[in-house]
Amino acid sequence: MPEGLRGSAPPSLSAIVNQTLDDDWTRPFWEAASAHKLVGPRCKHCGSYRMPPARFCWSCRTQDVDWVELPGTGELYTYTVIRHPLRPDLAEYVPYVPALVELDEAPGYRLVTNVVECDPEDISVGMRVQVVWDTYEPEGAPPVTVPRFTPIS
Amino acid sequence: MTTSIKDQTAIVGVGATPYYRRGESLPQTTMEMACKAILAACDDAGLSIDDVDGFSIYSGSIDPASVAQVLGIPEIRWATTTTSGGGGASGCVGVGSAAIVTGMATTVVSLMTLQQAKWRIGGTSDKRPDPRSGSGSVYGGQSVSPETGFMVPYGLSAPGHSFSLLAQRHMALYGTKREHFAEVVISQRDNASRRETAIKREPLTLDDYFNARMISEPLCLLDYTLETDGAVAVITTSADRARDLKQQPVYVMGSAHGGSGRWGQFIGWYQMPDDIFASSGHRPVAKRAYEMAGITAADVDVALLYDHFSPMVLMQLEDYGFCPIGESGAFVADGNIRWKTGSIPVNTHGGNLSEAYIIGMTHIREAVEQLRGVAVNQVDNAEIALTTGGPAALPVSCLLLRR
Repeated sequence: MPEGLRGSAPPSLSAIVNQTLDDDWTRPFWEAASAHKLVGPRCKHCGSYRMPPARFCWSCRTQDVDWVELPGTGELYTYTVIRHPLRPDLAEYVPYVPALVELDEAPGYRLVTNVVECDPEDISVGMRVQVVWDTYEPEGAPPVTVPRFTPIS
Repeated sequence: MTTSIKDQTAIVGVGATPYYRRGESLPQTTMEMACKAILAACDDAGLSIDDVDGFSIYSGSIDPASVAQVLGIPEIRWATTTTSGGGGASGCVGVGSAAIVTGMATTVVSLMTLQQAKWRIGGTSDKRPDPRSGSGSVYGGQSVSPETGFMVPYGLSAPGHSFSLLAQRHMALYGTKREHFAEVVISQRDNASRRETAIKREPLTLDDYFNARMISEPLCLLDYTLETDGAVAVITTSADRARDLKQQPVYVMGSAHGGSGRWGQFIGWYQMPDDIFASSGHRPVAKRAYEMAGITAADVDVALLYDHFSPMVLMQLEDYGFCPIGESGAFVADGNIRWKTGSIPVNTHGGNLSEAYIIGMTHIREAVEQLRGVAVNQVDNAEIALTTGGPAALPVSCLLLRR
């Protein structure tokens, strides 16, 4: 039986996050995630969001951000259902559902994620979704929590 | 006074290796196939390799220094590449034309060589998951970029997965259907069926399409490009010089490469603004190339549109103005892209989907053959052809050619 939520990519892929945590510009996202809070980097100067958390605002080209806590709900912008595994070890995870979610209260802030615990046939662009926190515990390394999304019933 | 490249240069030679199934070009190397294609292009043009003095390439096809030393080219006066990948396939001929018009070079090679034996472009970009990654200090040295934490956990592992995201949104916004993707696939397979160079020639029915293995909804195996080996090269010179050479010149009317800034890397980013997300990213280069050439979509007789994934042909039909935005489904359903009967025959060579995938160079080769009047699926009286580079990371590109 595969580990993890139905429709999720293999949870072990999350381990890579541990290799990025010395980056000041992205670490706040993961710290909030471990506390089950969904946050976004909002430009201090003009209020625009950016993802991934780049070092400049694309709109006003200043740097400083506030990490704003968001409600964790959003709208499914698009998705795909992976039916064919690219490697044998992915076979037990298909079908899994990579997706983009646009987050409420953060215009233009799209997260790459998975739609989980939902039959692929029931997924549609525009559906309302909410965050589900998924923690993976790599052997000999700190746990990593990533956001996945499930339909708001 | 502005200097334009319009009608100032021409493609004078095309050369190619056979097209092989993935890995079957061995024991040749990519460099060997590149040299064969270049020498064949020189021969086609009635030029000597000694005449070549420039390379304008894309997607890291070959190192001009290597080719020059291996083939003993006397001098190189131009050596540039568009950045990123297949997006620059057509635009690099425009860049080479700029070199010629300025007088910085006279005879410029553009090419691609490809061998997918040990490595597949469409293969997974994931490293095998290592449960121990991050062991030791969590704050240890970075071996990966911070952005990967926002991508890798979710399993978008291959280019086709990313294009599936665009296709799914196009369907939701505009009512585009899988039948419309199938029309692209079936039309191009029909074109390939008449070509000895094509890898896939067996005709396809709609049933075949819907019975094909699903890869990443909404894209099935038949919506995905072939994986092939081979090399194709073209040679560009000044229009004046072209008129003295062996073949009928194929003039460069216009070209552009680039795109909206926030189209950006597209794959691995996905923050493209709403109004261009479900598109090919080509609207800005289409506009500039048409303006340079002084024409519109109505003037194009045959379109060689980069078809790594069938929905991207639909989106390019919109972005190049062959039909309104969002209406490409109905446009192809009405038969408009078919060879003999369509208002704008598309990929008369069968394309990446059925003939061979040489990252966009087969599209230029077919355009040249159409305008010379020697194409297998000849469009009657073809005077103007459009070729495009891949919908992909910026810069995307296009080329308008005429006889």
